[in-house]
Amino acid sequence: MRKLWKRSAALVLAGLMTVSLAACGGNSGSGSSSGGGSGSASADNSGGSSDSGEIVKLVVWALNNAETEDAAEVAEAVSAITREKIGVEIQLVNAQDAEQIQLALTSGEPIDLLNYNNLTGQLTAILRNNYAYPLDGDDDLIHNYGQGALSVIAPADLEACRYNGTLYALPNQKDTSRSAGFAMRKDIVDELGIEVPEYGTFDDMHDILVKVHEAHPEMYPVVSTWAGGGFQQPWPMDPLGDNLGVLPNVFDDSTTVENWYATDTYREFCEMMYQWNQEGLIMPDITTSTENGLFGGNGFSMFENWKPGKEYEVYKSQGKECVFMKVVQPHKYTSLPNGNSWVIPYCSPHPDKAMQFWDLMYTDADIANLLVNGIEGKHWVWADDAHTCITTPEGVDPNTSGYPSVDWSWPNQQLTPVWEGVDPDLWDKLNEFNESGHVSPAHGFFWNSDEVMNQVTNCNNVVSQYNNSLIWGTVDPDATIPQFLADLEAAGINDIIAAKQKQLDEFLANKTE
Amino acid sequence: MKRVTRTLRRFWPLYLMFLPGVVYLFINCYIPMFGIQIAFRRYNAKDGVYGSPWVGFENFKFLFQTDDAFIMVRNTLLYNLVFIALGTVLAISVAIILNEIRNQFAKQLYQTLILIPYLISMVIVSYLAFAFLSTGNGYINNTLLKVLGIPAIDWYNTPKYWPFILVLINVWKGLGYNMILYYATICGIDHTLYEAAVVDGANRWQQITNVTLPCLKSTIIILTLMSLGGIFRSDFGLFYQVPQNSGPLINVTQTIDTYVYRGLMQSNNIGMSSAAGLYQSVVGFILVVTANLVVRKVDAESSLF
Repeated sequence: MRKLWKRSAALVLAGLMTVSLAACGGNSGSGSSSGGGSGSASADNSGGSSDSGEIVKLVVWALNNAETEDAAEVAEAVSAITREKIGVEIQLVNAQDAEQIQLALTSGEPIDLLNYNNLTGQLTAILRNNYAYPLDGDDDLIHNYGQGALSVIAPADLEACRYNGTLYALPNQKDTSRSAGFAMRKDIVDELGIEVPEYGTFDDMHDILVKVHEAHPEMYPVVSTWAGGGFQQPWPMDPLGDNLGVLPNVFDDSTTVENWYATDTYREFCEMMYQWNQEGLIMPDITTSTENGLFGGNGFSMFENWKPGKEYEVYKSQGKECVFMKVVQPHKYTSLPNGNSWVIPYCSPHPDKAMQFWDLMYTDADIANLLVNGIEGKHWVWADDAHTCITTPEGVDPNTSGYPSVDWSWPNQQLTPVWEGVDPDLWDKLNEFNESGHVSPAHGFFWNSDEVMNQVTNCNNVVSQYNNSLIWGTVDPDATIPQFLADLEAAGINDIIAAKQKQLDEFLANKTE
Repeated sequence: MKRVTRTLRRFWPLYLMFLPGVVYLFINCYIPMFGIQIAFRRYNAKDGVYGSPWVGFENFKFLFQTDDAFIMVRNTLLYNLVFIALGTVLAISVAIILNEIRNQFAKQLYQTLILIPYLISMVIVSYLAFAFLSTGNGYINNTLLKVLGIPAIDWYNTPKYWPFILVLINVWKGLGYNMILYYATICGIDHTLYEAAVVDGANRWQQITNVTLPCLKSTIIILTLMSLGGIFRSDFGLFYQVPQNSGPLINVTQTIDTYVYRGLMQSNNIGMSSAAGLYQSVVGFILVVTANLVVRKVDAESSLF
C-alpha cells in the first residue's frame, strides 16, 4: 500500500516536472490571463467619457535612455501643460527592449501609448497579434481628436500605417524615405586627400578602401554597423515586409515579386564582398563580433542609411566625424514611414485621452521640445541670443546627459530647435528629402503571412543560416548560393512568393479603383 | 477512510511540510497549464485565449516540415545523450576522487573551484569562449597555435570543431553541480561498510567498485531519469550565444529551441511557440515514463515509481 502511494506520488511529481517546464518555457506570458486584459480594456473603452474633469494618468512607453529621475522630471513638466489643456498627466517609462514590449503586450499591461521601435517585426508583428487599437474604428479617434496630427502628416506616409483599410499607427515626422551608402571617417579621408563624391559606385568605394588599407593597415576598412554583422542594405529593394519575396528594385516600378536571394544583384554583391574579404578590406569575424560602435573605434567605414543631418547623428553616437558616399538614391516603401513609430495598445484604459495627447505631441512645440530635448537649463540651453539653435549646458557632456535626445523617436521632432553644428534648415531639408524619395509601387502594401506561416518560419531559419556570411563575404558565393537557394526552395519560398504576389495584385487592383 | 485519517493524524507534521510545495506547484505549474490550448489556436490579443480561432495541429506543422526538422531533433537528442553520459561519468569520478582527499582545506578549495563555472551566466561564458576563439584577438589563434606553428583556424566558420567545443563547455559548466549531488551521497555512505571491506582485505579500487558505486546506484538512476525528461530541451545560451549565432555553424548548433527562436523571432507567433514547447514536454514526459518502466523491469527497487 505504502509502496503504491510512493509510486503514484512520484509519478505525479515527475509529470509535474516535465509539464511545468512547458508552462514556463514554451508559452512565456501566454498563461498570464491575456483574456482578462482584453476584456477589461474594451469595457473601459466603451465608457470613453473621461472628460468629466478628472485628471487621467497616461502611461507612455518611450524609446530613450534617460535616467529615471530625469524622465520623471520631464514627465512632470509635460504634465503641467497637459493638465490644463486636456486633463491628462503622463508617466514616462524608459528604454524597453523587444522582450519587455512583447511580454507587456501579451499580458495586457495597461499602456496608453507605445513606441514600438525596439520590437522585432515592428508594426507587422503588432498587427498580426491584434495588439493595436484601431484609430478610425467605431469611436473614430483620429477624426475626433487627431485633426492636428492629420494636418502635419504627409498623406502618403499615413497610408503606410493602414492595414486592411484600418488605421493603426501614425508616422513620426522623421525620415520616411531612405538613401544609403557608406559612412567614412572624415579625419582619414582628409588626411589621405580622398575626394568623396556625393553619389558613387561600389567600384569607387573599392578604390577608396584599397587606399586606406595601404595607408593604415592597422585599421579595419569596413566594419559592421552594429554587433553581429549589422548592416544597412545598399540596394533600393522593397522587402515587402520580411525579405522573403521582394521587389528587387523600386526604381524600375516592376510589381513582380521575386526571390531576392536568387537575383543577380544579390549574387554580384556577395561576390564583390567575398573579393573584398580576400583582400583584407573587411574586419575579420565580422558576423560574430559582439561590439557595437566599431566605427568610432578602429573602423574606417560602414554601411549606413543617409538622411539630412545623419552626419551629426553618427557623430553623436560614435564620437567621430564622418562623410557619406551614397550608392542608392532616395526611395520609400511601406515599412519606412511606419517603422519606429507609435500605437495605442489594445489594453490602454484611455484610448481617447491617449489620442488627444498624441495629437498634442504633433502640434504643441513646448511638449515636443520637452520630450525630445528635455528641460531647458538642465539638459539643454540656447546656443545664441537669437534662439536659433541649442547646445548642452556647460559642464554637461552630450553622452552623459541624464536625458539624451532621441529626436526621431518622438512624433514631431520638427517642432524643436536644432542642435548647434547642424544645418538650421534641417527640417526643411528633411521634408524635401522625404518628398524626393521614389515611391515603391507597393507602397502601402501590408503582407499578411498567416496562410504560409510554416513556410515563413522555415525560410527565416534558412536565411539566418546563410545570409549573414554571404553578404559579408566570409563564404564563397559560388559554392554557397546554390545550396542556399535549394534550401530555401525546400523550405517553401515559392509558396510564399505566390501568396505574396496574389495579395500584392489584389492590393494594386484596389488601389487603382 | 479510517486509514486515511489515521495516516493524517500520525504524519501531520510531514503533510504540513509538504503543503507549501503543493501550493507552489499548483500556482506555478497547474494553473498556467490552461495555456496549453494556445498551442492549438491562432492566438491574437484582441480575442483573447478563448476567442482566438481553433486551428488544431496547424501550429505544429513547421516543426516537421523540412529537413531541418531532422537536423534539430538529431542535434538536440545526441547532444543531450552525450551530456548526460559524459556528465554523469565525470561527475562520479570527480566526486570519488574528492572524497579520497584527506586535507580539508584542499578538498573545499577544489570543490569551490569546480563549482564556480556553474554559477557563471551563459552569456558571459559566450564571451569567454570568444576570447579564446576569435580570429582577430583570440588566445588560441594568436598565442597557442602560433607557438605550435599551426595556421590560424576560423573557428566560427568551421562546423567540425563545434560538437567538441559545445560538449567541453557544457561539461565544464555543469560538472560542479552534478558532482556535489554525488559527493553528498558518498559522504552519507555508512563508514562501517568500508571498515568491513578493509577487514576483508579490499584495496582502494576494490572499495570503490564494491562499496561506493553500488551505494550510488539509485542516485545515478534517479538523476539520469530526471535528465531524460529534459532531453528534448536545450540550453539556449549554449547553442545560440556561445556560437555567436554564426550561420555556417547552424547544422551542428541548431536545436529545437534555437530553431523556434530563429523562425519566430520576427513573427512573434505565440501559438507556434507554445506548440513547440508542448511538443518538447510531451516527448520528455513519454521518455521519463518509458525509461522508468525499463528500470522497474530490471531492478524494481531503484525505479522512481
